Amino acid sequence: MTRSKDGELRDTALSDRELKRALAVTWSAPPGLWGALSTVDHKVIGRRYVATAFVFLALGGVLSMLMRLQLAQPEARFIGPDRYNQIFTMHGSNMMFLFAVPVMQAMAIYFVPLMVGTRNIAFPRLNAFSYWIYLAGGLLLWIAFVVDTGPDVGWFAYVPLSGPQYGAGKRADVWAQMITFTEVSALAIAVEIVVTVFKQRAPGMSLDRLPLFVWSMVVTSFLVIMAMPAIMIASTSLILDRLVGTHFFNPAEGGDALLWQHLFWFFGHPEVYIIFLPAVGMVSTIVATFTGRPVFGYLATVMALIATGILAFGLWVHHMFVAGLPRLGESFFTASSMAIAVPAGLQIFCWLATIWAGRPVFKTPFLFVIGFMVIFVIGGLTGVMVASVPFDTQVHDTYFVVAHFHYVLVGGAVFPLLGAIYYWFPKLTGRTMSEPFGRWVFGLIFVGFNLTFFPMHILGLQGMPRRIYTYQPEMPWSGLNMFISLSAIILAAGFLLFFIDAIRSARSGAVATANPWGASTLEWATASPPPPYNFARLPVVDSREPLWTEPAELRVAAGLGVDRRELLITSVAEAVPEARESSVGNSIWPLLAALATTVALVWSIFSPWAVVWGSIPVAVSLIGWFWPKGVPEDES
Amino acid sequence: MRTRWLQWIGLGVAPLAWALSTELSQITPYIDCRQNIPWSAVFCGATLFVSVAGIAAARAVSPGRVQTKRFVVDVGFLIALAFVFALLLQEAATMLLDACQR
Repeated sequence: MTRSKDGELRDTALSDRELKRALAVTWSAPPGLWGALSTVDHKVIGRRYVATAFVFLALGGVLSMLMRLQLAQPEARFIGPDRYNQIFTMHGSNMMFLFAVPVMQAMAIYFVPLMVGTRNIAFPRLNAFSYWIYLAGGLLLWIAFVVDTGPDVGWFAYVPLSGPQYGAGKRADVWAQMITFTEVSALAIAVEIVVTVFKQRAPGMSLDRLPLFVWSMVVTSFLVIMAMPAIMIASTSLILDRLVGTHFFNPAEGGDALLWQHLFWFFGHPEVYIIFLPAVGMVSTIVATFTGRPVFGYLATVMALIATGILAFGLWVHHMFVAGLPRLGESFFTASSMAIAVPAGLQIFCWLATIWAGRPVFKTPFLFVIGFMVIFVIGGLTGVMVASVPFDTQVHDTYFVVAHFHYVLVGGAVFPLLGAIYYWFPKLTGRTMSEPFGRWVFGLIFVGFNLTFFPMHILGLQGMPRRIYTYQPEMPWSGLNMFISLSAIILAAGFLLFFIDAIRSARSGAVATANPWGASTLEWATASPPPPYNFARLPVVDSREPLWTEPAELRVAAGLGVDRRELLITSVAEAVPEARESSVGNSIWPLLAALATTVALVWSIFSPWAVVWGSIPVAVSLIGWFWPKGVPEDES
Repeated sequence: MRTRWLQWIGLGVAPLAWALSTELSQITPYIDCRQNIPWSAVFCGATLFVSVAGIAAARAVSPGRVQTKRFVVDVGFLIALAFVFALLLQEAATMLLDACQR
């Protein structure tokens, strides 16, 4: 073992075994509770995020079953109107803010650094902070619900219903502050992903060689960065209206109630694509692996991702077609809503062409992709329908819209996500999920989903409004509602089986090899699960499918230090190595900063002085976080 | 240096033109209705023209033999096409609808 002239220990001086031992010492977290609370390993945090998001999915699923129980019969007395309002608000808010967005970003936290061939995500402490703050936001919402202070104003919290005039108590404040928690968390991850992808890629991984999942997460991260400040401004303004008597949304004092809708949907529509675009990346990855060939039309798929991401910002008014805006102005949004079908359709054709030209292997992940295509196309077609102003005016706020967005969101995101979990489970845990169980899970969820949500189109066309806690027996809706509620049991059984399979497989599933599917991307070039340092020697990439073009052994970069956590910084376009950069070590400060922020934010629901006094512990924790440690930051 | 800047033109111009057109659509119908002049059609047409010009400029760029640059130029060109389609639909809407209709 020889050191370089500057006294550093480099990987070039070590054998493979020595190198792995030295890297394990440098990159591992301490054992026990302290290590668990202070770790900044993107894989540990990513796994936590995924697990927590699925807990919220299960809780949201329980709420949906309660709603179906209530609606199964007319004039049911199982849930009262007040609790029902809380339940549908909780269901929507929970699924959108605590499950769908975080779980997609969680997958990126875990897999993007591995797929681009680096050792940790950019800003690892911010990553740890984002998880704690997300957890705090989720706990705030659910604890409030348990103590009968759950928000009851819908997941969009329209004013004046959520304003001080009509939203008595603290329910709307809890919703608004939960937004702050989750959006801070999402913004933090988005920044990390963008920097990781643009500056930490493996040498040779130029922009035209990026895996499609990574492309999808870059575009998604830009969407988060541009969309989420709008809702944070909106929710903060709402809290100010409610707590300190400002009048942002009060027309009587010069405010504007419609401003809320504009701000909310400027975020809310891109939110759909924030959930959908990662799924596009997942589907592209799974399709390539299970057809044994690269995705047809890489260029077209990247174009579709970027075009969809940009167009997503010009659709928000189609949620406001009955708000009384000029028809001509609305028609511009109809035009954009129609135009976005072009890149979406292009992606579908690219995947179909890949399947057509490849040799598909119908394993569970691929089954979920097939299910996704069927369901998402139906959701997309009803999306084109509701993009038309006259049609939307008829079905606005009916169950047709409920059916449409569940087809888009569950079909477009949850199906690919479940496929991705089956696909990447070996990498996450070192074990594989059960194939027979997986087929049952897919069958139950696919059948249960369609039987549950397709009839809602008909209910909507029959005029059944959304968000009603019961209906009269004279209305022609009871038969279909009973059918839907019974079908929901099949859907729930599918998810229950999925959870059982995941927990069972994580404990006692078959041990996975490094690359059990014979996939092409870099995350499969390391062990399952990966060691704390990800790669003993950083790979060098010569093609889009490095593990297919160089199946024997990848070329590797040499010369990185092993005494400290070190990464390779590369150029944005061509991924040419530029510098060696240190990556921070484990720290408890992100947790303490999250705790201080939580106290300040929760306190500010009750008193504006919390912003003043609460900022002191936040400042202390940030000083501790960024305090210089006497270690040179960059010796490049 | 010039081509380095131009390679991003397809990616930038058409989406920006579309964003401008979409934003203006929230303002101009009121003016159209009041003054009986089709400003919406004029502005949308102008952004459409700028987008097409952006596409032409993007196609004029010679990406050379650098694969990444060629990729950026091609992606930008395809994206610009998608936004020109959206602008065409918006322009069509200005010709079909009455600006005073609510």
